[in-house]
Amino acid sequence: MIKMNLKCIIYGERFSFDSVKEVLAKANEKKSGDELAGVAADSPKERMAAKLVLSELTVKEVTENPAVPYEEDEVTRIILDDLDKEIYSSVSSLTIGELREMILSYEYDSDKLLRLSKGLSSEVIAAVAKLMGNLDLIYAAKKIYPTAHCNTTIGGKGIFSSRLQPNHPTDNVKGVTASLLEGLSYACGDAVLGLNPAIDTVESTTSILKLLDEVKNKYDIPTQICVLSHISTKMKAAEAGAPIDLCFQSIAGSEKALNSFGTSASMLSDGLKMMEEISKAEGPDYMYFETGQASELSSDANFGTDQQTMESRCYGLARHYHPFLVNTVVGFMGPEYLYDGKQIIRAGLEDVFCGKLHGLPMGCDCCYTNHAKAEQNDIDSLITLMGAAGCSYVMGIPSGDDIMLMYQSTGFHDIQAVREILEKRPIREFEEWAEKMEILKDGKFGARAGDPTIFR
Amino acid sequence: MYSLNKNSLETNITDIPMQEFCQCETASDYGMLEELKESTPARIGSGHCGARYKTLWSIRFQADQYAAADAVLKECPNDVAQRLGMFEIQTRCRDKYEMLTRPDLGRLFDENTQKIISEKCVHNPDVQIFVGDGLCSPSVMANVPDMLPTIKAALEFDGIKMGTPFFVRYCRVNTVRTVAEILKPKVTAVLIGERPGMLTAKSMSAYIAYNAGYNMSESDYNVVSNISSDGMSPVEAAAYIVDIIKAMLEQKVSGYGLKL
Amino acid sequence: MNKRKLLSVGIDIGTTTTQILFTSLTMETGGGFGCVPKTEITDKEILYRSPVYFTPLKNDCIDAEETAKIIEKEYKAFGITPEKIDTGAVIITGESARRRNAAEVIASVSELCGDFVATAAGPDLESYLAGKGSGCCKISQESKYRGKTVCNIDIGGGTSNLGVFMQGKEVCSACLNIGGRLIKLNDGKITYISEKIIPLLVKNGIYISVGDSLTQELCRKICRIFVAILESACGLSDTNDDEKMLLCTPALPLKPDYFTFSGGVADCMQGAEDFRYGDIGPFLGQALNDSLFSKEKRVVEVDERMRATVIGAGSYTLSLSGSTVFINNIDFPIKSVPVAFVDFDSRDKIDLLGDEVKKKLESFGRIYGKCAAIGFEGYKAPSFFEIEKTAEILSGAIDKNQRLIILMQKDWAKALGQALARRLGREFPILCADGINVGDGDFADINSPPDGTNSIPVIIKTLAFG
Repeated sequence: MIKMNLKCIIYGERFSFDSVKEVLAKANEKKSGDELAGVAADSPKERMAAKLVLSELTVKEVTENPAVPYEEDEVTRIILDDLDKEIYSSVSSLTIGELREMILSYEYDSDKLLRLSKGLSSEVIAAVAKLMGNLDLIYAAKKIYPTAHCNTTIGGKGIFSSRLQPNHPTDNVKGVTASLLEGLSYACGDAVLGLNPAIDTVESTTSILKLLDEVKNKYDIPTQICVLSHISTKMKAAEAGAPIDLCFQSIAGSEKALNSFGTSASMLSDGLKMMEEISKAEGPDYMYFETGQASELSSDANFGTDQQTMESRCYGLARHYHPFLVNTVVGFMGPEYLYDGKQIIRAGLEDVFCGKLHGLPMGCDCCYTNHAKAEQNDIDSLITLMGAAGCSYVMGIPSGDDIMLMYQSTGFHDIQAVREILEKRPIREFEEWAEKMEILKDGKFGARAGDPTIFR
Repeated sequence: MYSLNKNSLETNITDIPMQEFCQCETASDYGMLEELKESTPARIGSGHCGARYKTLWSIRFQADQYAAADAVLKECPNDVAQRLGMFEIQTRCRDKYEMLTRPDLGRLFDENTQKIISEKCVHNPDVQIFVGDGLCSPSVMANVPDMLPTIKAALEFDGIKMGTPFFVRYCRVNTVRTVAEILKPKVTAVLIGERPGMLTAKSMSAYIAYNAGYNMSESDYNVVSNISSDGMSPVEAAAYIVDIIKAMLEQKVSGYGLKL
Repeated sequence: MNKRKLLSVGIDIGTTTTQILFTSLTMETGGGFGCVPKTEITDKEILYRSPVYFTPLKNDCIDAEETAKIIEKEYKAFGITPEKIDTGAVIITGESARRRNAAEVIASVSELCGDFVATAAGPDLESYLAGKGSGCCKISQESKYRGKTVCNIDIGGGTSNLGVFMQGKEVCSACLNIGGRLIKLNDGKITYISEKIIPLLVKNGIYISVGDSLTQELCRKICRIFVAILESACGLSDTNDDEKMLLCTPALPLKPDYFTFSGGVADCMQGAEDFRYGDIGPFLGQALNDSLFSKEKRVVEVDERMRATVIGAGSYTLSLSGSTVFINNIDFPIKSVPVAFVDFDSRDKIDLLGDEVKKKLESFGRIYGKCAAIGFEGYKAPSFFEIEKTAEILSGAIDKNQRLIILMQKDWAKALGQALARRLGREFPILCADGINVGDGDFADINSPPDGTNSIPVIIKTLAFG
């Protein structure tokens, strides 16, 4: 084996690195989480040196140096075992820099990129992102249109969907209904009507699922429903006869981190198998995953790897289960991981690019907590960039203020504004429904938009 | 419900409960709209202009968000410990920035501070309670002056030995572990400002654990959150915390295993 | 979430009919991360309805012994013993003359019912229970009726109970001597006329007595007079002088917007006009159909008519306190404790509290010969100092030889209880519970928190026996 070159000269200074992992980490854009983990570049100069070295590493070298060894980690095994050998060998000798140019080139359209993606490991995709500026990420992500089907089809050109997130501090059915109806009256919820439960119990999950199902059926809304309780709660609720379209789970990029979430690859396989049997939806795509940079670090399961690379590995794990929805909750973890609006925006763009290049119909919860140095204007910017990058869906929360999780995300109005600015539409069947309800007309809000009392 | 005819300059708009703040002017059933508003503090009934928010709606949102962000970044006043009748110490964080980005340092003390704690405090009490600014400084003066005397009076009455309280600046929840290792109380509790949401920027939580220390797990805490004049009132929360402490001392356990 | 089921019994001993009903109440205890677990009644399921019995009478009073036999029989039919009953209520309803011996009836049935079954009577309680049982109370919460008052008119054999609700809350009530069995017949001949209505009939030029035959035409006329009085009592027409002759409570202080009908007579609104029950009920039902209530389209249909009161008694009497309460050295259950309500709903009234409590307790002691519970509203977020002061004042104002029971609305019962215990001593029996709405002169039955919860089950009633 030819020894990798992990040294370079830049600004007249010599830099050398010990491992691919170190190069990947130090090539990452500045994130407070990498500094907290002690893996970040010491200086902007060192960061540039790492980027330079990374650009000359080959696809093969990065693939063969996963963040966690193959033998020790089921996530690594899934990522590498799922690679299409033929496609992989056709690009394995390319450098990461060359791969970046290939992805950005006119020659590579959506179909070609989706084919190529099958030969790229999560670390390779993460590496490419590190060599991209924000506009590169938007430009490249925009070219890829992965789709998935549950009751309706998510993703696809010109489609900008939303998850309606009607959370309530105590899962009060009336309170949930209020936010749900307000959201529907603003044409939100074509991706999913999905609630984060305050109380993760079978009873509570079941009663909210029944509510969502009832509203969906009563008004004949072409969408899917989900309560984002733990996968084991969901399985029990299903056994108790709760109406289930999608199976949700938070995932992370290493086996150890998965375990700290109380789940594992085999539990995800069981979840998918169960859904194929009991889901009320058409399918074949039944899974819903949420991710977010630094969830591995917060559970002490990052193995000295930077958070952007670990995040990319979540998508390598996710694609194994051909999910209907995957989104990053990009600013939720707090300023110790993404300090300010700038870091949140950067991470969001990286995640959507990496997710789409994994062939996933990637969505993004553009959000921040009140202890981060961020404000709603940062989120206004991010959601607009997300629309430009062809992100499949974002969150719809009343005015973007989540009263249960106590953070701010995107509001119903924000989604429609981006649709109008970038000439995007919700999923076609849902749009027809909203037009019939006079909520939408000619791509704009219709006469009855914003009136939750039309649902009597 | 809040009437839009009122002059917004003469009405303190941040004081109007969200349930009464409504700008939907096109409802087909106002009775139902009112019912929906009452059922949740979520920002519904917004109305719209084009695909954007109404002016007052947008200002209210920004005002609430600013108050929340400000509560995080604001320092507790210099004399806060004095006003609470305590002494003050600081974690290894040098400022708010470091506290927000280095949760690991927000639970540790330098050697000198450890010495101060050890010298100024009673060792091996039944209960060690201390106060931290956490992610919400205004919550300290809003709640602790009513909480701490309530707890103290009740514990004294039951003959439970309470340690020396103190105030920790730049404090994270897991300071509990460090303090417990120094003073070895049976029960350790921190009253700490919680990350503000947009509905209230003065809320506090109590994290309480039996036999706390470096090796405890997160699930060993019992937590009482949303303590504020708008949530669970500080005196009632304090009375409830007393019951939790007594149950821990009796059952010698905390977390999921504790029966209340 | 922790679920627990309670078995509740409702027994309605009316002067006309007696009914028994068993209900399963589901209590759920839940709460998110960091929340104090909160217990609520989340579901009510009727498990068993007895047949409708005619209440056995003796000397024109309720026959206590025979009534007890019916109850015994129905407990057996449902397969339950009194020890298995967690809660519920026995309520004596109807014509007051016939329940002169209500206390005796209660005494003979209460042991059969179960330990924590409240026993009660009184026209206002009856009106509200019927309104809750019929579904009127729930209807008043619908958005369509928002800001409107909805009045349930429960017309039984001897009385009509009017219970007015607004957004699910009790507003006011009234009771009139109008019922389907105020005149009874056999083979077209009158066998009974309630003396309550004789002056009214005479005033209207109707002279009938026992033994006379009653024509359908005359019966219709009598029923129209009754209905006219109901219309006037409900504000649908100008005040009718006759109204006063049949009112057994003060009149309604307001004019309700909508109406629901329940009770045996409401059940007769559909069906023929005849004497099939040996009374005038079916005619009264028809007269209601032709009334201003129907003409003005202000009648809302309900699910339960015949059994409204018994459902109310079985399913709507129990309430749960908040989950932070203070209990020390108290023996449960506490039965029929009178509530002395004091005006204490703001921090400004704290200085007046001591005198008011003293005065109230003294007068309640004189009336009932036992120590009353103290009820008040409280206010949001009191300070440590205010809790201390309240405890100081209360402990100075009460009788130290009695237990102290405080039932309040705002959530600070545990803090107050602890402060009181510090003053009254470790042995002093104290119960301090919040989240409870009480009125002056109400009675409360109070039980210990069911396993796995910290909330206290409370039944508030307006009249009590024994």
